[in-house]
Amino acid sequence: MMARLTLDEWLARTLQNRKFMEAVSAVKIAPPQEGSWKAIPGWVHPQLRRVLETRGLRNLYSHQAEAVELVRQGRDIVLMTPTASGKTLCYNLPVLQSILENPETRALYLFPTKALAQDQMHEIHGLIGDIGADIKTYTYDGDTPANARQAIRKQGNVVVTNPDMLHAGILPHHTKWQKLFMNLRYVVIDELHVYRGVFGSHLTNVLRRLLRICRFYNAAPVFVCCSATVANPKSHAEALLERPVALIDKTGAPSSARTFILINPPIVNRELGIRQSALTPARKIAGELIENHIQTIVFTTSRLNVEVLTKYLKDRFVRGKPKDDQFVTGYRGGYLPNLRRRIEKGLRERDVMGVVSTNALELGIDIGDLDVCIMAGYPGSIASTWQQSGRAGRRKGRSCSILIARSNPMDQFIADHPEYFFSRSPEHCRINADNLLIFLHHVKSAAFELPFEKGERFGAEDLEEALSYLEEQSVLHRVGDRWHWAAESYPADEVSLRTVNPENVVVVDATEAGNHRVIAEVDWDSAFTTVHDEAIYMVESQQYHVDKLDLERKKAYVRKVDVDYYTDAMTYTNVRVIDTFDSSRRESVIVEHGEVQVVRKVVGYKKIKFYTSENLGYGDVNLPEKDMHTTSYWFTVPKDLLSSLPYSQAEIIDGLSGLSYSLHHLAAMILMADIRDIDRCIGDKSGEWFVRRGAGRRIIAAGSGGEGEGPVRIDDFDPTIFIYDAYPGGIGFSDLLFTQHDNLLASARMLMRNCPCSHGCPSCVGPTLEVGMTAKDAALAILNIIASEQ
Amino acid sequence: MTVRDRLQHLTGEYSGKDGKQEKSRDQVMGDLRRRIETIMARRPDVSAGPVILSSRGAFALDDVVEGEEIATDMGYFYRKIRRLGGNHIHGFYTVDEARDIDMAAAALLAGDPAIAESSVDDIIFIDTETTGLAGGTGTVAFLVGLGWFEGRNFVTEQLFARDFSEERALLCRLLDQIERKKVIVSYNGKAFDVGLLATRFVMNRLPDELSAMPHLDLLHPCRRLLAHRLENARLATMESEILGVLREGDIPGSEIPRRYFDWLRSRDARLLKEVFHHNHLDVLSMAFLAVHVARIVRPNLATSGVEWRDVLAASRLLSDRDDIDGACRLLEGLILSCGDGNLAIEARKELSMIHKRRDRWSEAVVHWEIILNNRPGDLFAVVELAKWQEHQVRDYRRALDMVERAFSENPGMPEWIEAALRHRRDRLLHRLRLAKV
Repeated sequence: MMARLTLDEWLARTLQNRKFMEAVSAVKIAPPQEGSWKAIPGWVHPQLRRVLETRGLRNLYSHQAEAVELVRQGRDIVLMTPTASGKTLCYNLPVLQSILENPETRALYLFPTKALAQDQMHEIHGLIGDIGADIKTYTYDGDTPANARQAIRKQGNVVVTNPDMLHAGILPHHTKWQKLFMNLRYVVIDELHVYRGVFGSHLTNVLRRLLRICRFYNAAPVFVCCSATVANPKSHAEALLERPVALIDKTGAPSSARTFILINPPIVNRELGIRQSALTPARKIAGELIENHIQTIVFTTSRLNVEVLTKYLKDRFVRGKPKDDQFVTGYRGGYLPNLRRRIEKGLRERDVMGVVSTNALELGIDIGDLDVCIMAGYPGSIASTWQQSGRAGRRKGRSCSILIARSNPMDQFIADHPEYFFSRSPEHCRINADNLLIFLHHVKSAAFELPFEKGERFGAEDLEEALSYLEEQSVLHRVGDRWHWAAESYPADEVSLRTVNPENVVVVDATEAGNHRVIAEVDWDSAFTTVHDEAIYMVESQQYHVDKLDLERKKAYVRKVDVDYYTDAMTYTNVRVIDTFDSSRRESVIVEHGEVQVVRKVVGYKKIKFYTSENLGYGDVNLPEKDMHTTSYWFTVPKDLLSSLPYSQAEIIDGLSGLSYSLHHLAAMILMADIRDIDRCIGDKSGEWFVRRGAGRRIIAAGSGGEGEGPVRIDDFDPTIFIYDAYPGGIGFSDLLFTQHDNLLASARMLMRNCPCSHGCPSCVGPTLEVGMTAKDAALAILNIIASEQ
Repeated sequence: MTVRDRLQHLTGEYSGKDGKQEKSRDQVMGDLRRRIETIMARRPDVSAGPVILSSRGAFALDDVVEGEEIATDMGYFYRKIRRLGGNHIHGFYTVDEARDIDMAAAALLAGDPAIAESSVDDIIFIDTETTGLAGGTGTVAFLVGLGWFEGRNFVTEQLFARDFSEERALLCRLLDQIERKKVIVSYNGKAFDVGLLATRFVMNRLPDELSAMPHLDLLHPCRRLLAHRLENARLATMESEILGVLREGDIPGSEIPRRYFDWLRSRDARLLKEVFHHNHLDVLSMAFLAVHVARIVRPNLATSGVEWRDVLAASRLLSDRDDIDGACRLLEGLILSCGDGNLAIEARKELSMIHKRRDRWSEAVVHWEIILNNRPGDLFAVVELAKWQEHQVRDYRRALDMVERAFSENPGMPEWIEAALRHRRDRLLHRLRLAKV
């Protein structure tokens, strides 16, 4: 048997390998960092100090020392230091100290997921056990048994929960939590970067409610926030908490040397612009590393990919061994908690040499430090990339991160511009806590918790006007200068913090008459495109035919079928400008952002054959239009400029579509948003004309008029590309895109130019089957006339 | 655009094109008025009373609900008091009879010995009407009905918050009244009313004197003792089936929150008449149910109106509470009173098992044999006798006789019993063979 290679040896050998290096688009080596330490402060309780010392902690990292000192002084802080830099001690230490000084002290910890809450419990239980004091910590979430809840409310010194539970389970019952609120000294919000977009906008409102209740009980807790890398930790924390926050972002933890390798798999079909799957190199590299007992974590972008890759690796390493051998294993949400705990332990103790995971392991679950991190696909943001990458990295020696690009525009942009990627600051976290719908939901919940008094403030909006609106809606009742909740419902149940529309459509399998079963739930917005009448809906690769979508009862009745096609809904979107907030002229185009009305309608569907993607026919769908007011960024191209280009009408439309495709993807990348958080449309500003996909290719249709009007020509209007918030009321992406207009267009140009495909592919302007053969050229030509090169 | 305009845009309430404009305040009130008229039209029996239109033009509260405004340091609230004399009849009982609550029995039912030390005059009956069932801090008790015995009378006092601003004064009065009493009696009050009031006290920064008081929640005993033969354990069911009260002009509990919200907006007091009536009857029925359930567990007093099968249920409750003597007393009384009827046989079965658990075999055997005399071949009795012969007397022959008797006299017995019996027979045959060797 060959001697095993160390990571250094493997790297040296691999980076010499010409075949391997052909696919490598960049290698970057970061030098090791020295640590910086400070003595444990003198005020730390001797019992606590002893426990730290038995754990080998005679000193604190400089950032830990700074953090505990500020928290001790009652300052609100946000801490941004890398993975595994001992962030949890920054809040556990002052919290435990304060409980030792006064056993009545209470602290509330918020984590975005139950798994993280469990992990944190594990850690703090360890500390408390060693201190030997009577300090009670509990998790309080949907799984907490009813008979344990009373004890938690009355006795828990540290209550670990999530924002959803705080919103629906704790705040509306604050009188039962009297003891907690009267003695609340600390609120810890970990993984702060998760709270962006809709979720973050909700959290700010939940915190506004929390603080109202704290005021009622005369409590003024100190907030301790922790975040992974983001561009704006301080302003994000201040936006969430709506108060000044001190930033600590200089780590004192040492780090090892790190090699970062960026791989772009070879093109296998130039015509269609298809590259080798990112899973192929991931499997090969992970296999080699694990064989050498170099502990490796592979992140994939979907649960399915976790299972596929795990199977490949298990086939290689655990064949013939007992089935539960965890030398290599998968890890994702959906695994049972004790299996997850076993895997985490195996990783810490290095019994597990390889793990394939979704981003479930990206957040701060303690799995020790691994040697290599492979990312099969760009995780969607710079911040996530560094976060995942941070899973590998021992205090000493070397670690390595490998990012393998897929075929989509974001991944390809990065593979083509490694220098841009490495020099880029991570993304901004944005929220819009005063999104009116979100705000209104929480005003209701807040009124349920405590009547509003005249002159009270709740966010930046005009509260009194919202209150009188709710009074007219007959949910509030005003007596003198107070507004009381006056309805039978429980408002916190009406809104979920994480989804856009809390209403769901239930999918009912009616294959067997008399034995109807619910097989899935689809959120309200997707229901229109996925479970319309006659659609083929798939669950775990079983096909179901939708017999009837009953919107009133919120049910879709389906039955099992076995057909050789799937369906793809055809929708049209029509955007009309209601109000322009700001406007500027760039070259010959007008760039604006403001409020828009978006009308969406599913008009039909295509039947598409599996494997060949052959179009087997069309059907009509008759569903109501959906009308939404939101915010948008847009720019308008003068028609005269377009008509000077050497392309036909149809080709120009395709070019604009291709351009909007790449802008949509790049905007998501810049915003650190999910691609579904924003959407796109081409039309004119009045909503009179818009571009929609017909049965064949794109056509221009009238916004309000019916069918059958004569063909409209592109030179009848000035086409406008809209990139808008997909949430009613908007989440605040639009003004950022407005300021990023030049950057966005320049990125699109780089992306298209450097894309090796001949006519367009999913990596740049979209697949040629959809946008036609000239879209890429036309899109570039349009870019040339609307944005000059720097 | 104002916040309101923007909200109307976002929620789709406003649609300029269709000309569907926002509802004006007048329209809202118009809708409300129409709804009130519909409610009144539906219930002519109640609104038929002499309702006088007050000078203010609406139906004023004191014209519809006879009561008075009470001024306190904490503000105002509205109160209605009624006194029912000893001869007042509510279903099968008079107030004089209802007053005769056996406090020892009440203590037993509540599982709280402190109650036995109190007298009937220490009891306060409580029932609340609230703005919803959702619980949490946004639900308010706007009407608190109290009841107590005073001399030969039963007094009810209904405290009503005409608006949210009167809640504090109402709660203070409630605290004053509670201070004079020692025991709470409610129906589902442990799970609902007391918890809700506890929240209201905190919200108004008042002490919660209620939660720690001895409390007999009648729901639990009613469920155990009575619901076994009824459709459900709701107070309304108990009232009609047990007390024989037929409510007239009542309103379903689920409509009450809506009535209060409508009252807040319209100030039309007709909406409240039935709510006060409903609450008053609830308090009254509670008091009368209390005497009834207490009689079931202590039937040695005047036992009219008590069903013997409820006594059987009571014996099981006592036995679960480890009050074995109490259970035996009930069962023996039952056997004496019911002769050899089915209920007596059920009682003998219960009693025999109590004896068996306490190793009082001879007493148990007597019961089994009596059962067998009355019901030849009774499966329970033969099987128990077979077990006794096999394990205590160790007369395998007789035990086998019993098993055979069970088989021959119970054709079509359930399969699992048959299997167990067959198993017993095989074992007995085996033992007999061993004995011969």
